[in-house]
Amino acid sequence: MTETANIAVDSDGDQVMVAGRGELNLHTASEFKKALKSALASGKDIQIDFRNVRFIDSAIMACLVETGKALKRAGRELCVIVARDGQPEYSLRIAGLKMLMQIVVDDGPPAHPRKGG
Amino acid sequence: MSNQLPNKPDELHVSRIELEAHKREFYQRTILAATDGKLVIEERDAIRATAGSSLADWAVDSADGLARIRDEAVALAGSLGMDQLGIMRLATCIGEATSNALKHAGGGKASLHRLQDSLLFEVEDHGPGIDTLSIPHVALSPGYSTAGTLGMGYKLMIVSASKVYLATGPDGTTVACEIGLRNDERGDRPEVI
Repeated sequence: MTETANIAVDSDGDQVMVAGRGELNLHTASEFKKALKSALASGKDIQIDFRNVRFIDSAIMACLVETGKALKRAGRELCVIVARDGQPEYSLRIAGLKMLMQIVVDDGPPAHPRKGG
Repeated sequence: MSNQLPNKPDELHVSRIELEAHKREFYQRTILAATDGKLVIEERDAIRATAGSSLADWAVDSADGLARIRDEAVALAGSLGMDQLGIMRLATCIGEATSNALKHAGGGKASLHRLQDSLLFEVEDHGPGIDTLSIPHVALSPGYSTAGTLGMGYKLMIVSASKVYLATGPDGTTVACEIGLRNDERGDRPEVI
């Protein structure tokens, strides 16, 4: 497993898992992009776990769109798991990205954007 | 505007000013209509007048500080009774507006304001401004997949906020997102790729 500050990449059978943690934004997007690039190079489907991510921004969404398009062209799949009612779930929902990726909503507690609220 | 041709230099000057004002109004109205009345192109002073005095102010000066601004603003919004959907919308707008200021202008200042039944989060920078010709692309082209990072960020703000006020020019950019304290899921209409 490769792990950096907010992103871990692991491989299992037919898919590569990319798990995020905490804040993923403009300033960690290059790290996230690098992780997705290595996952793409594996030739496998990609599963992204955002259950422990409390916030994503448009830079991360752009990485997802780019990866989703590349996988679709290659006949492979992208699946993103998010916690119900967290900010990542909200952002992915309003962006309507379902044509490029499967979005799975987990009912566990979200990593919430409101600290102590 | 008169249809008569101006024949003196002063009249020609006035006519050019009127023409520019007309073009600007056409541009503002087109953007407003194309975004269902959500993206309001304004002058910086008009946004300041709408905002009024602030509840809290922050310097947008480091990547590490963006989460703190968002946390403090949403905590304040929660204490003022903003519902959970509003918190999601506000957090998304704050993330995009502050990131843009840091990325494109090296920083700026942010503030939170109370309007009647809503909150307004404003970010002002003194960067080079947004190319006005790119705004119609952001406002008019459907979906997120071809929007680029700036376009995607503005689309997220436009969908999340009840209104986005934007003033941009060579002296910088002011963007302000208004979000109601009480929110309805029906406003979350996803864009189609």
